[in-house]
Formats: sequence, C-alpha cells, structure tokens
Amino acid sequence: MSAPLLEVSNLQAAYGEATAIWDVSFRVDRSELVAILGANGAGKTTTLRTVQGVLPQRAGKVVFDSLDIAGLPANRVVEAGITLVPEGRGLFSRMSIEENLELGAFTKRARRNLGKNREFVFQLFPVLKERRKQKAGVLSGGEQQMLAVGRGLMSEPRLLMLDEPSLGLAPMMVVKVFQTLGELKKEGLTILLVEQNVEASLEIADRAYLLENGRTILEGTADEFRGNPTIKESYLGL
Amino acid sequence: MKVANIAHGDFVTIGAYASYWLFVLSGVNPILSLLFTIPFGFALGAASYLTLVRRVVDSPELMPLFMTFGLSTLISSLLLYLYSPTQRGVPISFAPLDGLGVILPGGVAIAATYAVVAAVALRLFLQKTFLGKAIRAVMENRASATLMGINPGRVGLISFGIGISIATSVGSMIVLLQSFTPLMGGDFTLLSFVIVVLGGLGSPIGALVGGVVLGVVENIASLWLNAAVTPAIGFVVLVIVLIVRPYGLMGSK
Ligand SMILES: Nc1ncnc2c1ncn2[C@@H]1O[C@H](COP(=O)(O)OP(=O)(O)O)[C@@H](O)[C@H]1O
Ligand SMILES: [Mg+2]
Repeated sequence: MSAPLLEVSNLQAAYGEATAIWDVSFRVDRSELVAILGANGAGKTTTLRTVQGVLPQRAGKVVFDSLDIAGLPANRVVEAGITLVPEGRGLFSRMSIEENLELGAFTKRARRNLGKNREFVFQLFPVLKERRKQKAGVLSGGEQQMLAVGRGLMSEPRLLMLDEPSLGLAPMMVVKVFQTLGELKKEGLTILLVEQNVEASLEIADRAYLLENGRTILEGTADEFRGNPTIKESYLGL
Repeated sequence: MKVANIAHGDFVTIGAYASYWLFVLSGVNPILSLLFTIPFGFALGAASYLTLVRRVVDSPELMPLFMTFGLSTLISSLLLYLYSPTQRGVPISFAPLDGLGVILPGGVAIAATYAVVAAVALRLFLQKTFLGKAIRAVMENRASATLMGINPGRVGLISFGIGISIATSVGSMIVLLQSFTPLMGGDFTLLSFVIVVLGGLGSPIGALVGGVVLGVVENIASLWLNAAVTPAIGFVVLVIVLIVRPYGLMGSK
C-alpha cells in the first residue's frame, strides 16, 4: 500500500478569531473519489480552502504526495498539483470561455499540454466548444459549472477538489455533473468532493467523511455510509 | 485590485525631465529617449509597487488614493527641489506634416503616432498573451486568479510597472508638444482620469478614443467659449457620456 496522495491531520482554521474548523482529519488515496459530507456551516468549504492555502491553517498537518504543503500560498499549491473548483464557481465572467480554460492552464506544467487538455474538455462538454468565443457570464448555471470543472481540469490536477458543484443547478444538470465526476474517476483522476447532495455523492464515492461543527465525526466506505442509521436519518431522509 | 494612481501624471513629468536632460546633456532626440524612459518607467513602477503600492492593494479604495496622493506630492516636490520651478522646454522641431488640407505640426504627428502604437500594443498584450490574460484575470477576480496558479503579487508588480512605463514614455512625447514644470503632473492626472473614464475603464483603445473625443470637443468649444472655462468642458462631456453609457464609450460591465 503506497502512501495516500493527500493526508490531512487534525486541521484547524479560523476566520480572524472565530474558529471555523476544529479538528478535521481525512485522507485521499490515489484514483479515489472521496466525499466530505455535512450540513450547511459544518466547515466543508473552510476545509477545502485551508488545504488549498487560501486560508492559513492554525494547527494540523497537510501532506500531499509526501510533501508538507502547509503554509504554501494557494498559487503554489496549484503548482504542486491540487486544484480547487470553488463554491460559486469563481469564473472570469467578463472573459471568454476559451480564455477561462486557458487561464486554467496557467502553470508551466499545464501550459505545455494546453491544446490536448482543451480537446479533452471540449469532448467532455461539447457545449463549451460551440460557445468558446462567448463571455463566461452569459452561460446558464449548469454550463458555468461545466466551465468551472473544465477549467479545473485544464490545470492537470493530481487532485481535483470540488466544492458543491451541484449547488443551485436544475435536476438534469445535477445528474450531468455527477455523471461527469463518475467518468473522470474512471479515467483515474483523484477527486475530493464536498457536497450536500449526500445520496448522489455516495453513489459515485469510494469513501466518505462526515463533518459536523468543524470536526470529522465519521469515516467509512460509501456502502457503510449508506447503511449507517445516523446518515440514513439525518442526511438521506429515510 | 483597482488602484487609481494619483501620481500617474507626476510620472509623466519624470519622463519629461528624463528626456529633457538626455537632450540637453547628450543631445539625445526625445523620440530616441523612449528607449530609456520605457524601461526606466517600468523599473520605477516596479520599485513603487514593491515599496508602497503592494501594502495597500487589499485595503479599501481610499487607502491607495491617499498613498498615491502622497507619492504624487513627493515626486513633484522632489522635482521642484532638484530642478526649481523654472519652465523648461526641449528646443527641437520637426517638419510639419502637410496633407488632406491639414497642416499638422511635426511634434503632434509623432506624439499622436506614439499614442496609437502604445494603445494598440497594450491592447494586443492584454488580449493575446498569457500574461495579459493573467492581468485581466487578477483585475476581475483576484481570489479566482490565485486558484489558477497565478501569483497576484507578481501580476500586480508587472501591471504597475507597465502602467508607469507608459506614463514616463508619454513624458518623452510631451516635450515635443509643450514646455513643462515640476508641477504639471496634477493636470495630466486629472485629464487622464476624465479620458479613461470617458473611454471606458480597462480599455486601451477606449482611452485613445476618449482622448480624441475630449480634444476635439475642447477645441471646438474654445471657438465660442472663454479659455478659462475650457477645462470644465471635459467634465461636462464626461457627465453626458456616463449618463448615456455608464461604462464609458468603449467599456463593458
Ligand atoms: N468568511 C467567513 N468569515 C467568518 N466566518 C465564516 C466565513 N466563512 C464561513 N464562516 C463560518 O465558518 C463555519 C464553517 O463554514 P463553511 O466552511 O462555509 O461551511 P460549509 O461549507 O460546510 O457550509 C461556519 O460557522 C461559518 O459561519
Ligand atoms: Mg460551503
């Protein structure tokens, strides 16, 4: 068994004085799809932002591919191979779809394979190819999410982190997003998914963690999660 | 990252003095002195960014205004101290351009050409190059740009350097058009704000169009109006344009 691709131990982070996550620990193995689940305000977004280096961590360890990345600024973490598709997508809405994708490939490593990766993204989301010259701001919510995922893939991440990619989308688009993530996983991409859509997440995930009040309180395989009484009752509405 | 630079016009003045001394001391043609004022401006801009601007890019908008106001005062006072308030000019003239029934003074033709070349080059840089796109990305959404692996500090340094190098190089062109003093920077800053907002923020071609529109309107108005009120014309035009097109002539949301 090789070392996990990402190992987070006892992570703690705060916004100013207000502690947002107290004790978050999890790991993601290579080619795994791991879901972090939890209610609104549990600390999921904060966890991803801290791993990415957007938010400074107050305590704990973040080891990526045996490299201690705690304290690295976000742009360096991208270079190391972790890419975050943020909550709310964070597109450059005044720039074209094509330019958004190019910016996704900003790092030296990704820029070399820009053409090849763009073709891959266009195959995954043909609508982006059709509308490549249009401004990102004119896309529908679902198309914007495709662009956000596509832009994330352009960076050739070794770990792709997604923060609530299905939030606010029409039901058909939700299905499409989860389908796409399932396909990417099959291609061997390692994915860390944060979601409130527990049911759909557990369908594509290998393993999952449950976050509550800034702490990881449960860990298990997707099957174990589906069978867990607490999860059933509080998150699956069964 | 949006820094309105009150000291912009004072960097124009610095460029004018640089070209003036290059001419007086070693006979360098002001056009040729662009080869100095462009990189010199970049270095000045980068140095100002590292020492000063960097500290306020994340602060509320008032902070950059105060800080660049201080920088403006510092530069004009320093020039005043070094070179006295004496009005200076570069005694050089170029053959006028005669065509289409219009006679254009040579200096004006050269300066106008430089303005067009600079605006087009800047636009191409911002639209076509990776670095230019990164600059636009940081301007639109600094947090997202960071998630692309862009180092916003480095982008800020380069953009400020480019902005100042344009200002100082414009100084080299100003000496072809008029005499100058250490205190002329403020007028240019004011004028440039009107022009940039008129043309549309963030659009080099818009700035060019804004400048031409302002120049034409001011000159036509001066046929009827007292010269004392001409400077106010710009603001009247600005208000009218912004009512009709809130993002300026060439700007977009
Ligand atoms: N920008 C912020 N400033 C202060 N507190 C915040 C900020 N963002 C989130 N929080 C707080 O941190 C906690 C975790 O939030 P978050 O990570 O966004 O949760 P989730 O993504 O699971 O909904 C919440 O209590 C929230 O109120
Ligand atoms: Mg969240």
